[in-house]
Amino acid sequence: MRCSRSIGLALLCWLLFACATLSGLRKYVCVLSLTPPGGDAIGALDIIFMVVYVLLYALSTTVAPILMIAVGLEKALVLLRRGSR
Amino acid sequence: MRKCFTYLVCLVVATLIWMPLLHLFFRPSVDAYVPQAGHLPEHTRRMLNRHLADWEGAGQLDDDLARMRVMNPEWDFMGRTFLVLSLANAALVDPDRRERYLATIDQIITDTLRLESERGQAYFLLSYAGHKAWKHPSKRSVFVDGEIALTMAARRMVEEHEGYRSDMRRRIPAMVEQMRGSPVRCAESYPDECWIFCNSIALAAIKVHAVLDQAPYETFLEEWVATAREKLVDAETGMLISSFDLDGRVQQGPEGSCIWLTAHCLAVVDPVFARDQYDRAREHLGRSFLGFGYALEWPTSALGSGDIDSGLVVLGVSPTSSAMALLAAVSFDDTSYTRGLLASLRFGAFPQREGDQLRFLASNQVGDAMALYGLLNQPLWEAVMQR
Repeated sequence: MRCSRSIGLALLCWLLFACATLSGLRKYVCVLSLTPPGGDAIGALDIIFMVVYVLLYALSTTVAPILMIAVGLEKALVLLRRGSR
Repeated sequence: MRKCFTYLVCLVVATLIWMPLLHLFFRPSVDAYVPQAGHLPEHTRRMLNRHLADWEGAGQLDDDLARMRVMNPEWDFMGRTFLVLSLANAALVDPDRRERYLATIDQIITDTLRLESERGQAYFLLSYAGHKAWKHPSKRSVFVDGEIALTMAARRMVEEHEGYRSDMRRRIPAMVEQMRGSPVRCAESYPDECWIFCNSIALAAIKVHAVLDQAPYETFLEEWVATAREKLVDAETGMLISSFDLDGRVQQGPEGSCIWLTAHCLAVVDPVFARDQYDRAREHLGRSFLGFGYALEWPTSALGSGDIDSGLVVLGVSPTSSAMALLAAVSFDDTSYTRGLLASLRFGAFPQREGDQLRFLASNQVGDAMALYGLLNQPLWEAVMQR
């Protein structure tokens, strides 16, 4: 149960990140360089979109792979225990 | 309960496995970005193409510059400088496209000189330049004069240009006269505000002018270094301070957004002093974590206050300082730090490839030009030192 939840969560991270990229949220990362994505000054929405995208990027490059490795390790432990019995 | 504990242990072990490995997906070899033995690497060529397309009319230059000028008109100016310097370096390692590089260099310098003449130097300065009186009667900014002089000097190192030669013969003596007038041998970037960043660029321009035109400035350059060692060094870290008034009173202590470039510029003026400054900056500001390189904006012993040049500083880490650190790391052949910084650039700056062009989405035109110059800076300085 926990195993499928972890895999689901990791896949969700990657799926959300892919959706965010395809929907054009990626352009808002220019706010990190203090440059507005449009012609005017940086707005609150620009900052929110930037934070969302960067967060999804961070989750998909760190948390998601860690969850998958943890699932692999747990499975390996179970197999090892079974083998030792 | 036991299953839960096992899962938690697995999570911790997975974190310990994954985090130290992450940088390997982003860590390139230095040869893939920094020119070696007269070869311009593909990634760097793509970064160059993004700017060439802009200035040749196929990009979105006006839009890029307008968006940057909303925040800081200096970025427009510095973006031009870093790009011209990169192009001059590219012309030295990639002779097949030399004419194209020179044409873009001339286009940028001509446009910059036009803006300087039509709108004054204030066009490239932050608005507070008009809020106070300049101390020097010329009311000129060494930020503008120094960078224009260095771009012309770089162009002339590739191929002589008579118009730039005569401009440098007017501009540089006036700049030196301003610098000599101060007890710390520095000129104003803003009214009664001298920046080591601008003055070190001016020094590099003076050095190249001395090399190209046999101008008699070697004594002045030695005198400048002696004065800086005595009056412009932070007591705690030994690094040069960032800004000060015309009499040398400290306004801002050492900063990453200044010191890396300063060390790079001083490398043609006094290589020993430059290396010393780089080593100190590396010790106090250069950091690596899990294989990713980055740089702090301020040393922990002297925390400063952020300004727009520092960029978005998070926990003391500055993108500007990190980009400048790349310039210095390449300049001083610090391979392991260069690789770490490149890994951070590829991980955190969101590179985007479009055809034969490469840009960084978390950056802007000046940031991209700065990163490009960070990779493409050695051939020009080597040519200056060989003459």
